[in-house]
Amino acid sequence: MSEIALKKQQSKSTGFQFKKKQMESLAKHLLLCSLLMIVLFPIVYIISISFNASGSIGSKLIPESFTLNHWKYILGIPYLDSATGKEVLSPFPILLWLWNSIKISSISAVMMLLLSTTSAYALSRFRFRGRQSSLLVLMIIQMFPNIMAMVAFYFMLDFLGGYFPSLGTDSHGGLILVYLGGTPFNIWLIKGYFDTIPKSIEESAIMDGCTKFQAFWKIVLPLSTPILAVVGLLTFINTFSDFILPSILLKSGDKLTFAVGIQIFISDAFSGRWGPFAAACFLGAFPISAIFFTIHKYIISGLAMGGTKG
Amino acid sequence: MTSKVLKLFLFSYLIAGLVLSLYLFNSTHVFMGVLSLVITVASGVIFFSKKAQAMRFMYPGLLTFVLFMILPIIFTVYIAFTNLSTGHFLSKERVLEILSSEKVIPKDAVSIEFDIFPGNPAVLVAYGLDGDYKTYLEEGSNIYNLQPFRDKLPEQAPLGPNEVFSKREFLETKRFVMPDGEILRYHRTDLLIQSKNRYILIDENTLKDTVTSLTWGADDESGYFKSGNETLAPGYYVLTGFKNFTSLFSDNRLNSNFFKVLLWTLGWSFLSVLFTFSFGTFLAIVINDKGLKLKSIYRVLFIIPYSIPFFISVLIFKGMMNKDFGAINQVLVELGFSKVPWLETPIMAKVSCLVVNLWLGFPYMFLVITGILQSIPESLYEAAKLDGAGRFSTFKNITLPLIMSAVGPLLVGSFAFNLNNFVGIYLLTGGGPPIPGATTAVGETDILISYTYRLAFEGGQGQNFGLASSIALFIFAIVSVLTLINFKLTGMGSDNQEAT
Repeated sequence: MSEIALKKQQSKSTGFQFKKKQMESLAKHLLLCSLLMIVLFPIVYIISISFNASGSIGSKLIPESFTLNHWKYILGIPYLDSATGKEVLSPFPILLWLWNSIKISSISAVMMLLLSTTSAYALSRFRFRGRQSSLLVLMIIQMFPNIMAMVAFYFMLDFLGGYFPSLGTDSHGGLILVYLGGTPFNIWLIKGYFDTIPKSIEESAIMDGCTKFQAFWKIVLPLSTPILAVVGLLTFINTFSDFILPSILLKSGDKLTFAVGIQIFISDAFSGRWGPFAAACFLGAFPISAIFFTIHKYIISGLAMGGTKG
Repeated sequence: MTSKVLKLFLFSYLIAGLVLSLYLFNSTHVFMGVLSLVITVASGVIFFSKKAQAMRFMYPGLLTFVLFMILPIIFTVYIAFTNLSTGHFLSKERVLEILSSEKVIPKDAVSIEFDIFPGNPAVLVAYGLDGDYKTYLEEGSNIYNLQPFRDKLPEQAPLGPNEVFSKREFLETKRFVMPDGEILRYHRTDLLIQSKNRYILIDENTLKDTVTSLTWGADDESGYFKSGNETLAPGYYVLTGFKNFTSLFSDNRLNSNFFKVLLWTLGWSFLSVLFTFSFGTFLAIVINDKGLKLKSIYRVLFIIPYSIPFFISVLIFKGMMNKDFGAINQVLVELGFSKVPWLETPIMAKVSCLVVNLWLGFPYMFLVITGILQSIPESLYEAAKLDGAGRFSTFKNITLPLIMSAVGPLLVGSFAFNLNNFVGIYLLTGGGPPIPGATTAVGETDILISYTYRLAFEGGQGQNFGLASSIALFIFAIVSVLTLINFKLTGMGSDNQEAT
């Protein structure tokens, strides 16, 4: 066989291999795209419904005409209903519910950070009696979700509300208190991060006359901003997404969180309110989704392993 | 400087705590008083003792953790052993108070007309047979003494019936005492009527009924005042021992339902983990291909479902799975299939829950498995290639074992999460469809946590907090076992590092 023939054969075989690879990647793309179509269908569908003029639960998937009325409805802006010619203003305080959720989640997140960072610092830096067993207890307790004790929470807040109405049932303060019991998981996360900060930095500061608390406050905390941000945002997301506790503890319509409010809103009339519901879903989901994507790298890297939803 | 401010703050905090404790003691709320005192003293010791530096840092987190995690768990255990439920909400003391203040109007009751004259304070005038009586309606009192008077009536016109009616909530709680000791109560907008206590308290366990002349004795097993087979409402709560637990196992109707729920809870958690893990791994492996273009875009798009709060996604699915109008059946009909009763039959409802949960949960597994895959050194695959290993045997002998060795605790965690995945069940099916013939609110797709919720808070058939808490203890037990397994897997407490 001449050299040229050999080369030809070679190029033929690599060409064939190349084709095979290309076919394979084409097949993969086809597979992934069709999976994506199924996976993303509910999201695309709900966005389309939120602009769909017919906007009932049975409306066609591709809108025949476009409207902003559902958005006006949930944002509390009056609009003219073309069918009846009357001005419509939503009686549901959807924006207020969203604001309640944001308020409760932010306050919980900030207070959670305040409470768990100092504990985490003690567990990371001090060697005291009971440290090992504290760590073990934290490890165990963070497996137990607090909703198991929902009955107890209800009665505790009911009792507390007899003395401090703003911390009782049907109050945001009481709900936040209940969330603050969830420190163990956060202490665990933050302690892990503190362990990676070299002790020598604080030691030299203490040599220079810092107190232990100043070393913690002025040196360790600023160095830990990333983990504090992640823990704070995770707490925010988890609190925002909680359904069961607010549904038990909150009663009045203007105090509900977004999760409970929107569930009541749509459960009363599934077919009639589908359009506004779709818009509200987008409104509630978008900020949370955005926060999630800013911190999801930390979640993969195993920081939050096992502790988040999943 | 800061430390001075801090100390001042702490001092005022401690003093406020002591004052609060004293106040609570004084107002007979002993439990709150003790709690407040313990917290205050502990704070004082910890913040001002030189030795307790570590404790000082631990304290704030520890306190909320004890108050809102440990205490509720203890409290749940306690409630699980009581009959706290609709009709048994109050303590025995409170029930005695209520019963012994219950009023009846005797057959020969005297009624007297009255008027209210506005003013500050308003004046109530009762027109008795033997003359007029009046009293000033000052706020803050519950008992008003009617005094006889012979002067002229006030000059203003009295309140009309509607105005009196609008004050009835205020008036109904008041007693008006005649000089001879007869107690009158508000009856109509123009009438006060004589009334007396229905029950006479003989001792703390016995009430004498003045109407039927029965004797009601306290029965601390059922939490009622009883006379023969009849009971008085309201009942009170009592410790009932293991009654809630035995009723879960021995009461025939409840029994089968509880096991149904327990089995489905375990099955649902297991299948959810299996499905999300399989699909997540499959996707991670398909995308984790060096030659594949648009890899990072795929990764982001496939994570989107996970970034949306679950309650929103589940509610969207609930609408989409509506049998008659839902989008999924619309698509199916357009493709020439018939409508599927997604949420209506027991089997389909369970399948739907699992499908929706697969959608919610696979991205988490996908994320984590991708992380694991990226940490597998390329050299391992090159070595396998040199040894002539095919693609399947590389997967079987390298990729899968490496994934499995890292993923054990994660799967246990995911199992524990789904065990309590209330939103994934309750917002989709509400626990339904109902189990036929069930005596409590329970459905085919109910898991332990949604069953607990429905027993305690759904209320259609009364609220049973005792039974709900006893079910919560089963969740507690299962999670404990899972925690133990996780410890074994992560090697804490033993040397066994093998993951399965």
